[in-house]
Amino acid sequence: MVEHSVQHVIFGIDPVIASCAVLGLVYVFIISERLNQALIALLGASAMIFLGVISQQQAFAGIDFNTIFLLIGMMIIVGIMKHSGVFQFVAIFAAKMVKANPRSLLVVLAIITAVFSALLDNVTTVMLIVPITLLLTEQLKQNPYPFLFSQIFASNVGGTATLIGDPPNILIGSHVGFSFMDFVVNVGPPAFITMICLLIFFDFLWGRKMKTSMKARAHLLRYDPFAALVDKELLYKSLFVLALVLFGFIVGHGHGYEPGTVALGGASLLMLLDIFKRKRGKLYILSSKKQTHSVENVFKEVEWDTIFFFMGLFIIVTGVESSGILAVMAERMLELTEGNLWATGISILWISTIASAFINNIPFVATIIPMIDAMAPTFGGKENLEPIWWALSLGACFGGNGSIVGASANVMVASYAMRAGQPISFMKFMIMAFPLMLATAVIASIYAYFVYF
Amino acid sequence: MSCETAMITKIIKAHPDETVEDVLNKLDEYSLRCVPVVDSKGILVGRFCLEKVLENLLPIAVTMPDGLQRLNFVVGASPGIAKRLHKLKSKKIKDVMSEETHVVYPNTETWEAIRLMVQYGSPIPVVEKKTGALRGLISEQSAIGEMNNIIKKLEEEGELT
Repeated sequence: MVEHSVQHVIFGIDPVIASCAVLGLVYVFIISERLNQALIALLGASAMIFLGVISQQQAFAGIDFNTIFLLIGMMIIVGIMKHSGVFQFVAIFAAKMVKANPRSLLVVLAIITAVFSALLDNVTTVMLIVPITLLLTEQLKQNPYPFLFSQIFASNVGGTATLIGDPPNILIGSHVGFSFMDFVVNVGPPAFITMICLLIFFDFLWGRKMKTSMKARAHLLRYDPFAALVDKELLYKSLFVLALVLFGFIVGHGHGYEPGTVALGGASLLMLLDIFKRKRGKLYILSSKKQTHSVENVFKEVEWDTIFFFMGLFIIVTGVESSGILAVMAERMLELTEGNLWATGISILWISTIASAFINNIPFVATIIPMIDAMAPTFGGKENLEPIWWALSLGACFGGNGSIVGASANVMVASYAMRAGQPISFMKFMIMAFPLMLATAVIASIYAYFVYF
Repeated sequence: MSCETAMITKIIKAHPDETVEDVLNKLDEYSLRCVPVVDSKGILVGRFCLEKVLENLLPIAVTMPDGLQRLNFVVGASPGIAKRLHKLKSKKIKDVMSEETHVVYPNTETWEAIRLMVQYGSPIPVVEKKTGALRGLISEQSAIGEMNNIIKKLEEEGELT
C-alpha cells in the first residue's frame, strides 16, 4: 500500500483532483481507442510525476515487477513454442478425432482454447487458434462466427482458472501473493462449471444446426496433423520447460519464489536450449552471430506495448492511491454494504463484471486492487479479504466477455476476424454476449455465495 | 537520366472491366507476369499480376496479416485450388487487381525507379504527375538496356578506358 501523498502538486491543485483527472483522461482515451493504450498509459504515468502527484521514487516503486517479469517470461516461452507448430497440430488432430463433424469441432476447439488459455495466456492462445479455426471452418463451409464467439468466451473463462491465464489474475495474484494452486483450487471449479454450461449453450444455439457435406469432411480428414509439427525437437524442449515452469509455479510459492522469477527463469532456459540445434543427427551450438540473431528474434515476440501499458498503469494507480481517493471510495462502499463480507464480495463481483464489459479489465482491476486493500481493517486484516479477491477475479475475467472490447483476447479475435473479411460488429457481439456474460456472473455469484462466504 | 528515356512505351494494358480469364490469356500470349490496369481515359488505376492470382488461390487464413505460416499439413488440396481458380476466372480484374501501386514520373531519376524495382518488383508504371495517365513502364530490361546505351556512348567518347 502506498503512503498518502506528501508531494506538492503544481499550482497547489488538490492531489485527488489531479490524480482523478489523469486517471479519467486515461480511461477516456482507452475507451475511445483513439490512441495506442501503451502510449496513453505512459503519458498518464508521466503526468502523475510531472504534476507532482507522486515522486519518481514512488512511481518506480509502484511498478509490480513480478507481474512484468511473469508477462515477459510467458510471452517468450509461448513465442518460442509456437514455432514448433503445436497449436496447429492440436487443432487438426482434434478435428480428425471428431471426424471433422462441425458440431463436435465447435465444442472441441472451445475446449482447446480454454485449456491453452489456462496454461499459457488467453491473448496468445487466440492469436494462434483463430487462424487455424478460419482454415478449418472454410474447409467445412461453416460460418466462422459461432466458432470465434465460443473461443472468446472459452479464452476468458479458461483463463480465469489459473494465475497466468488472464491478466487480471496475474495482477491479483502478484499483489496478494496467491499461488498458482490457490487459483486452481478457488476459481478453477467455477470456471470449469461455467465452461460446461457455455458448451451446452453453444451446442444448443449453433452446434446442433451445423451441417456439412461428406465431401468437405473427407477433405479435412486428409489433413496430416503431424506435418504441422515442423520442429519436434523444439516442441519437446518447450514442453519440458513449460512443465518445469508450471511445477515452479506450484512448488516455488512455498519457497519464496515469485511467479515472475520462475517464468523469467524458464524463458531464459528455453532461450538457451533453443541455441542448441541438430543437423544430420549431430548436436551443435549456433555461432555467436546466429545466437544474437536468435535472441533478438525471441525478444521481438514480446508484446512490448502490453508491457509498457502495464508499467504506465501501475504508476497511474500509484498516483491515484497516494491521493487517498481509493480509500475514501472503499469507505463509501463499506457503508453501503454495512461492512458485510459477502455483500461486499458479491458487490465487487458484479461491479467488476459490468465494468469489465465496457472498459478493458486490466486498468479496472489495477485501480480496484488498492481500493480492496483499504477495506482490510473493516474485515479484521488482509487475510480475511481472500473471498473478495476471488470475487474480483471471477467478475473481472467473466465480465471481459460482455463486449468485444471487454478483454484483450476479444479485441484480438475481432481484429483477426476483420483481417479475414468476417468483421464482428460491436452490437452484434454484445446482443448475444452481454446476457450470456450476466448468466456466467450469476453462476459465479452462486458459487461464491456457497463456497467463499 | 530520367525515367522518360528508359521507359517502354509499347505496353500491353488491361481494362478494369475485363475478366481475369481474358487478362490471364493476354499474359500468357505475351509471356508477361504483370499488366498495368488503365481506365477508358488512360488513367492508371492499378496493376494485375500473376502473383495476385496465386494469392487469391490461398485460403484467407494464410493471406491475412499474422495468418498461418504453413499449409504443408493440407493433403490433396489440388482439386480445391483448381476450383478456386475456375471461380476466380469469371471475376472482373478490378476485384482482384492491386490498387496500390508504386509509380514514377517521366522526370524521376532512373535510380529511383531501380530502387523501387529492387524493393517492390517490376515493372514500375511511369505516369503523368498531374493526371495520373499512364505514359510507359520501367522494367529490369528497359533500365539495364538504357544503361547499356550509356556505356556505348561513354565508350565512344573514350571515357571508359
